[in-house]
Amino acid sequence: MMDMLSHLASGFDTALTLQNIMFCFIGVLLGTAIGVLPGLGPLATIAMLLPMTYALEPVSALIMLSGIYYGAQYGGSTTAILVNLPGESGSVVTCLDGHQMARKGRAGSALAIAALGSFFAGTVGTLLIAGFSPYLSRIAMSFGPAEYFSLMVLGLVAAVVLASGGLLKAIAMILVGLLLGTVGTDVTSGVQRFTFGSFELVDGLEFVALAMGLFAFSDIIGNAAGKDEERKLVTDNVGGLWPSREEFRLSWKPVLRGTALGSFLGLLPGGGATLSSFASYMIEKKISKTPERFGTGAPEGVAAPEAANNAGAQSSFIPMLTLGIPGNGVMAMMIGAMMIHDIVPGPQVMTANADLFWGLVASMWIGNLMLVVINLPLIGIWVRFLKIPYSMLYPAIVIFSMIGLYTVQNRISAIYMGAGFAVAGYILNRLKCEPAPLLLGFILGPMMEEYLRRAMLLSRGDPSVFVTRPLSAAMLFLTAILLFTIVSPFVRKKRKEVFVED
Amino acid sequence: MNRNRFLRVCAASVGLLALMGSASLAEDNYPSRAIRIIVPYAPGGQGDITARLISDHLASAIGQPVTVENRAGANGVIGIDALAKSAPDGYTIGVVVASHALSPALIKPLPYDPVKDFTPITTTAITQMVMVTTPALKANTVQEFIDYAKAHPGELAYKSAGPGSNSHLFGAWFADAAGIDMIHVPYKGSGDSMPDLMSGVVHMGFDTLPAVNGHIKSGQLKLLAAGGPARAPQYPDVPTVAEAGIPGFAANSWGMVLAPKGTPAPVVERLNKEIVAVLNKPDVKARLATMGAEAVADTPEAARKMLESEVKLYTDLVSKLKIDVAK
Repeated sequence: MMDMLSHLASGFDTALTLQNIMFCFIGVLLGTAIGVLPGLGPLATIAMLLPMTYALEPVSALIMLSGIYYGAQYGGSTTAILVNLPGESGSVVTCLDGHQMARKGRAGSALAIAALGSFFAGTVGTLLIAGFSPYLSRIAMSFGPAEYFSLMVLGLVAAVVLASGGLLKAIAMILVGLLLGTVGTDVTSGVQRFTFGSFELVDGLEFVALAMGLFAFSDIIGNAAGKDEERKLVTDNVGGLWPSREEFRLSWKPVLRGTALGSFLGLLPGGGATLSSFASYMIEKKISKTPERFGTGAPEGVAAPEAANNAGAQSSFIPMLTLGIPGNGVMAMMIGAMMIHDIVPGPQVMTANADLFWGLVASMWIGNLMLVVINLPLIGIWVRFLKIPYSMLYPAIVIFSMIGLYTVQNRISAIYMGAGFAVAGYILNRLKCEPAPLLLGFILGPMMEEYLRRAMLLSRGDPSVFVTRPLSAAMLFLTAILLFTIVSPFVRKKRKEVFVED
Repeated sequence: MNRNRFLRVCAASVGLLALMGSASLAEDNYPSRAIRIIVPYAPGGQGDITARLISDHLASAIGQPVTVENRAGANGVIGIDALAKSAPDGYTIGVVVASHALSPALIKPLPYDPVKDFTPITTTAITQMVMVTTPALKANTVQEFIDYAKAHPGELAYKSAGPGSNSHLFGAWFADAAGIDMIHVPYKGSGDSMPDLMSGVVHMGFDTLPAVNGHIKSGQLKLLAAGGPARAPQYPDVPTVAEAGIPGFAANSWGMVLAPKGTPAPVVERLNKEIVAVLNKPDVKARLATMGAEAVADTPEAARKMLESEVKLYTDLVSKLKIDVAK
């Protein structure tokens, strides 16, 4: 406990430097902005900013990128409540009751409940990371290549099982990601694969180009191709920001439950903000004595999912930071950002880059505090932000992204790659194939292969090492159970019900 | 009207004269515009930091801007190829490190000859490599390590920064010279391998001193020997591998400034003079020393000789130890 406090104190030292406060602020500000704007999500934004972080200190880079993720959870609720459009996928359910509250003249109150609930959840999430991570990373330190391989198999399978959308498509996307990840020089043998004699491909496909093309450019194409959705505000006057005593009474328990649920779901592979908000809304509705109030402006329906999505966003950092294993697309981006800075993701980040770890954790709390300030008193600015025409916004974004893409390696080929992935991403979107599992496969695939072959090298080619080491065997056993549940008809039916809102 | 026309003719002829003179004046006026230093590696590495040190000081010395351009990729081949194909006029030079001499074994077909397609300017620095082991292993000296390995054949593993990297080469060389059987376990880079080396998943490795110095001090790694040829100034009591029983063993890394083949001699001399002056500055020496690198500022001829001998050493080792990866 004392240890944790002293670590956190040193983290605040790092996070409270002028530069890091600034990047934290830029991150949460951008996060709020893209959260408010429907169409652009944190994945796309982080992809676009990856090249920019190249020039930054690693800790500043991660502080800013994380700020975008949890900042988007705040911003998303604004659009959901005021316009009835989810600004971000984590706030889809907030539309249901948040917008109804706004129509009843309680917009200000709904916004405040969302922001304060998120802040509470963010604080708990931060403490959870600080308290939980050292133990997890200490356990993971004893992992050898065999354990790591089995852990990644488990993570990848769990991500498929828990991910929303079609199972078959998710598996297909992961496999495409794994395949794309094999392009380049094989780490173990030094042999070049799928490079077609081109030196540009010797180091593999450029991660930034892949991420930017699949998530940012393809989103923009999709938004530009679709009709501009009407962004009509219910009212320019959001009303008083302070929730009534009754609303407070109704909200505090759902906030606690949402925080607990979100923190837990965020830990799981495939979890994170979106899953958490859906699940907590359903639970609130189920345990409520007056479920019929849901959908007509019940404060619980805003408080619980908003707390849950921020808690989930926060706690999904834990497996990424302590094990080096990304549970969702945003975390895969974070791993990519670390690799750009030559930081090896894994349990040693906590000791080898202690500044980075604790600075990032401390910045999350600071960022959450900033977000309350940014979102509540400044709500009028964000409302006006919604009126920017996309026809002006998108060309600017594309140009800046391409400059960024070029500067990663000073190679024009990265832009061509990005353009190729943009087209691929658009086609995948049209086919309703989520590209996030592809990104997971792309990041995890080469790591898995490396650990698999390293374990085999060290065991001198004896594959039994994966089942004779107890931890590795346990994880493979869990994987088998998960796989079994996918094929069992009962779970399949349940799964469909859970994700029916998607 | 007339006067105007006269002026125009005058201006034109002056311009013509200038054009005619420019070809022969080019070398005398050198440098008359910005110089570009290609760094074929990602920012932050030894080659990059050396290039930035040189560019900072060189710019003020020659009164022209000096820019550093990172062209990373394919173990440096992309950037070095760009350097080889640049105009040999002294306005494009590059900084390479020891892996340049290893690239013939790594990438085939290599689009250039690592020696013949370049004009060396000077060696910049030599970096000590050291032999480190996991603390999980009882052995405290090179001899004890060899004895342990002989008593447990096939049990120990050495790590490298990838197949065909210099750490692979030195590990294989050590195992061969000591007559022990070790498994080679490649990683994506030196940093990638550290957790496994500390915890004893792999047991030994050669790495640059600055990369492992912190872990040696904290006791997470054991320093058994300096790579050589000389002892590390920070650890005067630790013998070199050669002193500890493997005569002729020398594991180190270096940096070198190269220009494209055919760069005129006066330009090479001028560059050599200026860069040697930069490398001899006390603050530059001190900065290099913090990276475990000892500044070397020599003549273009000495640099060429060293490049030739390094390429030969590595080529011979690669064929002797049969670790040619780019089949």
